[in-house]
Amino acid sequence: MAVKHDAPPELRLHRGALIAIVAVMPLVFALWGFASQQRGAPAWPADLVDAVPRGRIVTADGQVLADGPVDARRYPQGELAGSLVGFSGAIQPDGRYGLEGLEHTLDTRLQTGDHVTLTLNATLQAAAESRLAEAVASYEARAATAVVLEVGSGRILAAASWPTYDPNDWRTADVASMRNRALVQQYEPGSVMKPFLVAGLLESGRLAPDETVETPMTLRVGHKTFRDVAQHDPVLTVPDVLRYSSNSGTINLASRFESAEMHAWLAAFGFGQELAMRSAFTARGSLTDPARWVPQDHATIAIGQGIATTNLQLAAAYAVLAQDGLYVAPRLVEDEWTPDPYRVLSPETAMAVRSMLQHTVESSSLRSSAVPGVPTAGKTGTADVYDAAAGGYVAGRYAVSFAGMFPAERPEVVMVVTVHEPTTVTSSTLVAAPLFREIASEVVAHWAVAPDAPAWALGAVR
Amino acid sequence: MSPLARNAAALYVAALLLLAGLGATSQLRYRTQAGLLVDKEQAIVALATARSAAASVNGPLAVTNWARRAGMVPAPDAPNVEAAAAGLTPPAVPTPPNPWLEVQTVWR
Repeated sequence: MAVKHDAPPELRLHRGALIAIVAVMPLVFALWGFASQQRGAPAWPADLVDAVPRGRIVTADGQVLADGPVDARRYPQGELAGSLVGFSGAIQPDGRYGLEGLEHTLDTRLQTGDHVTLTLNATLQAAAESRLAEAVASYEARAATAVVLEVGSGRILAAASWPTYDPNDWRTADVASMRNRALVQQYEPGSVMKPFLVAGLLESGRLAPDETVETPMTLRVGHKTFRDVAQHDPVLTVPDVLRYSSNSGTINLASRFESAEMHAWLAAFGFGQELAMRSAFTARGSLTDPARWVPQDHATIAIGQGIATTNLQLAAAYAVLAQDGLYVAPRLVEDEWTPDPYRVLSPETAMAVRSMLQHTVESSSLRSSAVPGVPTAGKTGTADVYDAAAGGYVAGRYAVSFAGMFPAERPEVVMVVTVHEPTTVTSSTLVAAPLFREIASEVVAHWAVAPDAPAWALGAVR
Repeated sequence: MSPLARNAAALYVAALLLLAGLGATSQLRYRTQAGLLVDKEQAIVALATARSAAASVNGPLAVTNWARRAGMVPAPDAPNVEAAAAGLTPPAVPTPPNPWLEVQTVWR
């Protein structure tokens, strides 16, 4: 039988304290343990805890141009394609993180964590940027651009602009260097437009390839006098009109078109039209309403002034000649949707103009534009630069270009290079043509095929 | 008094000890995870820095510029390049001694 022993009154308090310690203190310690989890622990890195996933931007040959989550976005290649790639930052009112370039235009896709593969070839892009940088320094130019297009597919292999910048340091970069000039800078192209007029006349039956054209050294249209630069005979064949880049001959040829017809042909080559490409900012150029043209406008536009284009538009138009008359919309992202190609010229007309452009390169000082052993077709352009502030063309300021393709018989690549406002030398033959050859040489070297190999082999290895 | 009631105090204490043990384990795992996240962030930064450093050495742009500086040319241009060994530089012209004599006179 259990005997109940009541504790002496002086010990009853001690028993209560003992029960409190045994029953309550573990509970207090347990709660304290849970409540004090973060005490003394390392801080959680905010940019990982709150990380918004973002896809990579990669070139066709696997070089990573942009990588990492939004708050820790990096651009491992630095300046390479910097003005094209752009950069991202804090979220914007429209829900985008991309602030500039492809980071902006591809933002929705990148936010899903989807990686984007560009059509760019990093090696060719680097070669083009390197040569542009040298050209800008050598000729003390304002800027330079180059676009390399793959014939048949419209893939943009290089879209280089100089000056450029490192997106890792975008906060300290000059805003002017952020312009992706190859795609958005509109300029009056000059004589590189002449082949399209000839192509339109041939295709519409208004001109035969073996015709001759009157080519006086000066020609007055309306209140404007047009002059030829290179000395030549007063009558030239059509290929020689292109070879000597005769303004008077081209204007005489353009008189065979009504303004609306010429406008329609230029529009068919893509001038003044919005590009279908949605992966990057592009400019549509300027091709005014032909109903407002006066005769000197008609003449001016025929020789590539009074019309504005971009290097990408010009490359896509030259690609029509390279693609046997088909217009293929250019694209920058591998799986990007582009509209179906459409026919602008018959294959015969395209080949005839290509042959004239090859004659232009091989029969003049433009041989400096051709890679040894690789037949090249192309045309120069030296255009006056319109200054909106001055309200007209300013003497001594030119945009010099060379647009061409190679190998001429069966082109694999179309390329357009432009140097904006060179100061030490201003001739397109001396500035743009050698620059074209230098980049073209890198392209051919990249194919790793002997230059004197047949044309089919030149394009077979890429 | 039922056995459960008799052992209630002991069960209660055991449950509290279990709770305390869970709390301690939770703290430990929390600290481990936080440490791993910090490590991960450092690794991401290190990787990005390494990628940039690598690109500055073997990236396409760096290689192109290096090749240019080193005098390399694309293969198609090779036939146009004349390989020339670096010539001997002429010896430095010695500075001739002054053909005149300088005399200083100190007036006292």
